[in-house]
Amino acid sequence: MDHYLVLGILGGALALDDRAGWQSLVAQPIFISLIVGYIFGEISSGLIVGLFLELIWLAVLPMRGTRRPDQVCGAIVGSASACFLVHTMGDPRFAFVISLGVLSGLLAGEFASRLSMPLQHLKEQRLSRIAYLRNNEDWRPVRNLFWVHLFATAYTFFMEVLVVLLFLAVGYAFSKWVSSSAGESVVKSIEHWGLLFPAFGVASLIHVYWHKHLTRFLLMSTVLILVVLWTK
Amino acid sequence: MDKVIKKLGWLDLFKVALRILFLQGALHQKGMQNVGFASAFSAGSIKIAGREADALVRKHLGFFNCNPNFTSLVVGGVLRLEEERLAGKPIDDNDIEYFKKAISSPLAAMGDMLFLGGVKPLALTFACVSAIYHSLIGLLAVLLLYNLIIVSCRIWGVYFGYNKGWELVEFFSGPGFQRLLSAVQISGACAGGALTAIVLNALFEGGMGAFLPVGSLSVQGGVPMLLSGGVLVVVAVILLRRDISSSWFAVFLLPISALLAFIFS
Repeated sequence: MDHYLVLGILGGALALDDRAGWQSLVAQPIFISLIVGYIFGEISSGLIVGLFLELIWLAVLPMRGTRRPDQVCGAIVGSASACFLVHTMGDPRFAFVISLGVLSGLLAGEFASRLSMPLQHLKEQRLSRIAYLRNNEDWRPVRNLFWVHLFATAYTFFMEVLVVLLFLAVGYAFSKWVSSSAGESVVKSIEHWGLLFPAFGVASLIHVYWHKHLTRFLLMSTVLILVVLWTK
Repeated sequence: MDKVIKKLGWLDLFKVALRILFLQGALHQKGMQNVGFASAFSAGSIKIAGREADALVRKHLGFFNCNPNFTSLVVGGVLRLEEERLAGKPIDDNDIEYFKKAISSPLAAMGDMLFLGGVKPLALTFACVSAIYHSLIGLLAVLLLYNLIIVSCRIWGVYFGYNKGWELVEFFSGPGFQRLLSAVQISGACAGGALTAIVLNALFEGGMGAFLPVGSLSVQGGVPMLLSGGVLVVVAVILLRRDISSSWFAVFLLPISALLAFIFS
């Protein structure tokens, strides 16, 4: 729980990059988990959770009209839950903890995206008023637009800080409860589920590069590297 | 036709570019990027229009949508055209509106294909490969290179758009862009193929266990896991093609894998 506030602010800053800034990749699960892992001193646990979340979410391209999970919140909650269990709770069941982290991340990402929607809608309603102000001669756009832009950007930051803090609390409680109360069969089930993550990755990659001009390059490269890996 | 002396220096254009870095901060469904566009445009408008700057910015508050990495080109181009119009060139408001529409729609499609469909998946693929081999240097290199491309595109775009003006339309009509797009997409597919092979190999070696320290799994992969992994790949690809959420599909598989674990144990 030591890093609770730091992770909330980190979430806000990363949401700025993802939704307001130039989308520098820092807000992708793989890099978020690296940062979270570094904060907890558990880089390898964080990175593995981030890798699996990235492989699963690689299929969700931010094209127009697609509804994306809140990857910032999901990756922070997922990797922080795993790091929390390994680092603070001292849970030795590494594969189980990683799978549980991925599960927390996936759920947090989906629910946070739904929670953010009405908050985002509120901001959009205010911004839509600009269209009416356009015809108002007393309104000075050169002076005011900078502040409108700044406030809208700051709103994104604070909204995500709140969302991340809320889901972190839920994620920590959920992971702690599952970790302490899960019997052997539940642990094995979650680990079995985790075994299939690479398969999700393969499916996501095929989905991303499934294009009549690109599929042959994907297949050729796959076969070539597989031959190299298997003959080594 | 006489050449119009450019009023905006590199520092003025840099201020415009800085605002473009945060273009989507004020994104909304009704006007999309209009606030971001007008905010960036207003940073250069005072120098070209003086007291008329407010009226000039007000004109550009209408709906605007483009790929954020290419918006800088449009802002630069519009600043140039407005400057030329104010200097007395035969350009009217309709011409500038036509320019905005004529260039922003194709640039939106081209930018989405290049950045979201090409550069970003390519960078993420390399990032995943670096993460699998625990290479922090690889991850940092991917991050730096990607940002170099994106940030320089947003900043350079303002200068380029401002220098080209109308010529922007011709510049992006040539075959050069298509060749660049193909090269990036093919590189992405090849890198994606390499990552697919590495992940497939991991699946053969015991699923997630291949990425974890030895002895951290209490269950073993084996043939049942391999078979279910193969079936999962096929089913997942079919469902992803039908826009099924990958998160919910993954969560939904938890009870199924619990059932499989129960049957095979």
